[in-house]
Amino acid sequence: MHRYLLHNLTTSHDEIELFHYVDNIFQSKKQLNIDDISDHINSDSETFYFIPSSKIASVALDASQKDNDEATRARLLSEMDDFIVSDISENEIFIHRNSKLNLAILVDKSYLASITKKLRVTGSKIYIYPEHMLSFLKNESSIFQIADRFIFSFSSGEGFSQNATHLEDYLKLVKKEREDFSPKVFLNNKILADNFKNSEIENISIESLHLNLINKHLFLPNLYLSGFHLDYWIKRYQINKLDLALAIAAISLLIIYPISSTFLNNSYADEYKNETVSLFKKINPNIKRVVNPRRQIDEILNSYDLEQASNLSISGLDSIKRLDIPEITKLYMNINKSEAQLTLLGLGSNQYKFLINLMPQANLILIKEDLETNDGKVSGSILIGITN
Amino acid sequence: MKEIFNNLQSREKSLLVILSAIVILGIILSSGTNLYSNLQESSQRLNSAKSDYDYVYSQAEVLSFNLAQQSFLLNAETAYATLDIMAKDYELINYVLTKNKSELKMVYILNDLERSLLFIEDSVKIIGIMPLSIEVSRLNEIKRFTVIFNTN
Repeated sequence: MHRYLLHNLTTSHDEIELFHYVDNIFQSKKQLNIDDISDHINSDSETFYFIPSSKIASVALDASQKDNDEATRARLLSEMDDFIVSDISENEIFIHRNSKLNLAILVDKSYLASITKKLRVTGSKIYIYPEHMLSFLKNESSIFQIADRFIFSFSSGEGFSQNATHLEDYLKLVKKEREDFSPKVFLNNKILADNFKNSEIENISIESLHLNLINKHLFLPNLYLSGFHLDYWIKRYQINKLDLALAIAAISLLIIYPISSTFLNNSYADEYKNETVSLFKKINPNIKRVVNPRRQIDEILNSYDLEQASNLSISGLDSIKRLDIPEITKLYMNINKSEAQLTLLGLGSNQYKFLINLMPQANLILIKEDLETNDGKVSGSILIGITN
Repeated sequence: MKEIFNNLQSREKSLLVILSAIVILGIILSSGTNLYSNLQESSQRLNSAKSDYDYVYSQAEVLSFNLAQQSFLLNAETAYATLDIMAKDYELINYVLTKNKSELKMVYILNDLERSLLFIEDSVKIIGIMPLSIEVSRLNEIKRFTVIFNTN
């Protein structure tokens, strides 16, 4: 499985650093513009995008509170209205509760939407996580650095990131607000070492944090808002133009078939009705309406007091066509008896056998043979029965 | 519209999406059922119209046959004249019509078998009587036909 992990490089979210892993083995990293990621990421892969923690507001939730998500949202909105600089309604609120994490995350809707839109172009499976979750999974209280950002993760799952310029100010604030914050520091930095003298310092690569996250990320809050986006699903399931054309053709066929068949059936039915009326008009031009054709034709026949002919077609005429062979010099057909006498002159014996074998298929039965065979030629007469 | 939808809460969005899906599915199902039930109805209508036509046609043939027979028995000369005209149309060679009290005998030569059999069928329609026998004698490609009708 190909996995791509993306970090922001600058405050603008366009410049990103892309780490590529295949089956948990690091392959490469490159810097690129987010608009170009579809050139590097395949649709059958997983993409992890890390939102800088400074772009979100995370709030620990009381695990003991049994409020539903809507009530929690309402409470957060009222509590945080004064703290959030932007209009609170412009933020997407994610409530995430499980046995390991009880957290609310607020992120600007338009920012998240623009990231999501750009990631959808890849057609890959998308995960969007706050950046501090990388170190949170390694050690809940921790600090590490990506690009120029120092990323703080707190034990409740909250987190923040700050650049080097404002690091000291932020550290003062953290120490004031969170007196018991004793993080594990995953980098060598003098300011951090001075501020957290009791903390353990461990140099850890971002790749090992990535691999740790890949294995454990499923309980984290995924900030990707899925939904029905045709272009994404087309790309995701690698639907090409031919597939689309076939699908459209199949659907069109399902719609067009009943409509066209109904139209044709109706037009043929009308044609039959018109022809039926026309037959009545030929019999009697004064007939104005045909309501029940069967009853009406029966009435006409009864009015003429006619004897019904049992059979109006001459049986055996088709058989005569089949017996149009030069060696059959004479054919005498008795219509009433449905029999025919054939006179043969010099018909090849194989040809004769072939003729006899074919007779049942032509509804003919051999009744009597009076034949002589000379030099492989058959002459004489046969009597055949004609069946309908 | 999109903005109004985006400003809704996720629960409201989900409900709206589910409702829309149900409505769309309902419309598709109803239209599909309607289309295919119309097709079935039209098919039944066609079968009924065809069956009526076939019945009327067959009864009209009976009527025509009987009327032709009655007409021939009343006025055979007209029928013979019609047969003569038809024989010319079919380009029959050596066409001879022999009549006696109980029999009508037609003899002619025509190499085209198919056409010859059509002539016999048309003759039956004119006189309204089925032939007793048909004889085809062949010498190389020349075919001589003898058709006998019982006029009793």
